[in-house]
Amino acid sequence: MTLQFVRQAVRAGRATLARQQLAMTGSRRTLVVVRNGQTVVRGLKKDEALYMKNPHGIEYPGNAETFAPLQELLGSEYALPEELMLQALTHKSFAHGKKPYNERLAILGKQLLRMETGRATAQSAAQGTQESINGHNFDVNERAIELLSSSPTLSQVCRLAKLEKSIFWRPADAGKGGETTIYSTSMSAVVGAVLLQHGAERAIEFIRSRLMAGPYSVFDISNQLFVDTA
Amino acid sequence: MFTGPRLAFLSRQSVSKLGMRRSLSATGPAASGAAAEYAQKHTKSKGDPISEDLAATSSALQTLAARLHLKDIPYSTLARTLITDTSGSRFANNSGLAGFGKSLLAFYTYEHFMINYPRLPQRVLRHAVDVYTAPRALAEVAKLWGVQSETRTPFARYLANVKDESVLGRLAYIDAVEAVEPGVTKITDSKTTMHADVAMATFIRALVAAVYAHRGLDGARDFIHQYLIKPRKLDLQSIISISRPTRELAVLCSREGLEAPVSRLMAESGRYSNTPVFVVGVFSGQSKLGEGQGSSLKEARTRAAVNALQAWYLYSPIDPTAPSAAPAAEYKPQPYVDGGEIVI
Repeated sequence: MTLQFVRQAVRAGRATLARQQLAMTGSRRTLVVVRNGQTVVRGLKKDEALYMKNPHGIEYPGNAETFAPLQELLGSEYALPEELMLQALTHKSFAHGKKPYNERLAILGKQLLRMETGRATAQSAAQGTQESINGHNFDVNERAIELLSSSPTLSQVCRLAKLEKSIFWRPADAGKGGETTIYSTSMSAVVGAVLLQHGAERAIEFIRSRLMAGPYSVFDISNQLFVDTA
Repeated sequence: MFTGPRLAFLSRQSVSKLGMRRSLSATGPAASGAAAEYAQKHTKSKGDPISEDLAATSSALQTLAARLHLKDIPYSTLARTLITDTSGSRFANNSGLAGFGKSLLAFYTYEHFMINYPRLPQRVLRHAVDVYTAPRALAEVAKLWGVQSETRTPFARYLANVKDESVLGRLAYIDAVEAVEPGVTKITDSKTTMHADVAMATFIRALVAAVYAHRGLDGARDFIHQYLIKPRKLDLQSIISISRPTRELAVLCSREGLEAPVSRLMAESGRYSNTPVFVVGVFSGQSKLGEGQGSSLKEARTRAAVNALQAWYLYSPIDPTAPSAAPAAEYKPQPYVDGGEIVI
């Protein structure tokens, strides 16, 4: 048996093994694959063109049209740099987290929204009554305050502001939903981005003027979305 | 117009109370139309107000106010922060205050960590915030402040001829954990009882809300930093755990457009002895990302990758300014906003 023959046998053996692994794992990705029956490579790489677009078919990183609805919501007073807008509109599920995504912006933005909705209701409720503390009434139902910054409410804001098409994410399975979480995360992330870019004072102004008044008021949306069963 | 589902939620308020609140607030000034209307619609029932003269007689409250420099906050408000909704007291309780205080505490703690460590993985960030704001942590602080408890039921207090007034100044709650007899502990899980840690936590949260009501947002922020964030030190390095360091480092390098990491043996000693030591450095091109040592090549290589990743995740900007720390006119945008942790 010549050395050349042994090598060929080994290669053939490897190839069969790899094919078997492919067959066994079915639709799962395998780490070993054989191309041309010759080269052994590790891992499969998906073509970028296949996944670098959002469910509405808009290619990352979008264009001026993609950012227009968000720019309209922000106005010139709370304008954000383009990369920050893009990050706020990109979910972790997009491109396997390879592009800057909005997870942490959303955490911070959500906390600010929680705090601010609590503050707004405390300041406005029953001022000057004997139980209030220095003009603040903290006895508003906590659940009701939570609903003001809940996922259904924020995703509705997102829909009304027509931001859905600008969001880069990847649905888990076709037609399986998940929009509510993605949209509300993006809305929280926009608040978080405004906070980091313009500071807390301006971010609070932004929440008060854009999300607590006008067409996207969380109070109106919560009243319409939720029914008080008490 | 709205296509989303109409979701129902439960609230504890009664219809009669709602009616009462509406007539009361008709006399007060309305700040913002929608907010005021929403707030009135969802206002909870509450107890009697505490009179300032009565609260001022409590030595426990005087001590607490002196200890935490809270002289500007009325004793009646301080007294209210110590009454939980399980106490059975006729006075207004702290549950609403605690709910709002919790959101203040969460925001400022998250902000602190996000600004000081902008690259912390989300799970580590949540854990770090938990270390400062979870009931157990807050209970420890409350104990340090010398808060004492009053855990008798209203009936037991009645039998002992103790009035609600004389309980003011102590943290009033009914403990969920009760030692029935030696060796037997009864744990009740209901809305009428509370765990000691949770009760202590509601007090601190309510106190934060009370400080906010009297000193404003900046006052509350300073209070949180001075008494809850600064005194506690947290070793973040020990919290970060990385399951597949070499792989994660490779993904990081490819994401950031750096050359793929290469591990190189830098020094070794006693390869054939039973106590060998290897020092491995992990390099991206010419720059060394991390270094590790171990008793096998593999261990040293893994440690080097962990070292490099920890250096990445624990990056802290020099002299960062938190968004809430500067007035709007002086605030400069955060120079670094991280793109998120590495996904493998």
